[in-house]
Amino acid sequence: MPFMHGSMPLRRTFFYLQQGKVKLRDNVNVFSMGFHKNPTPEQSGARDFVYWNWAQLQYHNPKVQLVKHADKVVTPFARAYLNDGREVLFDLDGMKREEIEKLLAKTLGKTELVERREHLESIAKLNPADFGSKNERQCMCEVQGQHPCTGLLRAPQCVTGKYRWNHNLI
Amino acid sequence: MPKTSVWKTRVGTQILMGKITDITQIGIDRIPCAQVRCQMNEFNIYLKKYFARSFDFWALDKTSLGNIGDTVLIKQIDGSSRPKANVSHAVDRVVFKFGNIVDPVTGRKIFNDTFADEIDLKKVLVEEVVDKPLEEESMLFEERRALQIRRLEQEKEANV
Repeated sequence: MPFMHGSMPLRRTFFYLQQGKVKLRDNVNVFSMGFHKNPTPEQSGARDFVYWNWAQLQYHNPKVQLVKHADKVVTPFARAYLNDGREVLFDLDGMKREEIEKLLAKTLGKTELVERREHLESIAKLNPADFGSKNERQCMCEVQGQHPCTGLLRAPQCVTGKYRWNHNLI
Repeated sequence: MPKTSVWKTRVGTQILMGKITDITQIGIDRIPCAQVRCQMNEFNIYLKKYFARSFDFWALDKTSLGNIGDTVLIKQIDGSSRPKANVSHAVDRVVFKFGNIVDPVTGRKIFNDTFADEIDLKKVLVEEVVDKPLEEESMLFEERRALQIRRLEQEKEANV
């Protein structure tokens, strides 16, 4: 019953996770953020960003390690570590949550062209002949003309493994 | 239905940030090594929530950069330069020193969620800012406090 109240039903959905706009570049390895759990008005933007957008950020960047530094420093900050060892430091003092999101997407996010190219590459990888639990088609019996699953309709003896390879010894 | 509701983390281990939990020496040369505890988020598909899970990595620390409690950045090293099979990383830099937190934005030292130089300034100015308003006995506490705060702000602006 408490799940129906407040922000929890909003934040705990796949639809909400997919709404995230920040897709970090491939060379960002670690992203850390310093915020306060009881913020002053200048620090509340970072706190709101962590509350609302942290899960979205991790969902869209599964290979980036996200680290929180709660109540550690005075000024809220965000710091990204790149592949070659460089750091990108953001001062988030006095910023709103939407401004932080735009700043991250603008500075460290992928451009629209890169996103489109990656989307097209992922489309090109699809093969309609594949089937299995990780593909669009779960089972071969979905194809028209194929034999249904043997749980539904018994298969003739000549195509069963028991007959073909075990010679019906059991 | 999977056996568990947790999606395993897919965070790459090339560069990681973690906290040093143990320091030891390995081998005949007694090379210093640090055990670094790195937190990664794992997704629970039932609750649709990320939970932080810690993984321990051993990292080379040839120059003894870090101490126990420091937050460090570790980098993966290739197999030929590993002194031991389970030491897979090397300490690259110290991000936050334990007991000596420095604000990365302003570069000022932090003590108990306050800048250390502000505490020093208050200590120096305690006689001028706090004691003088006490001489005027008719003021209430709030007025006295407001006067003290105003004087402290003036001294701060004068010092900058």
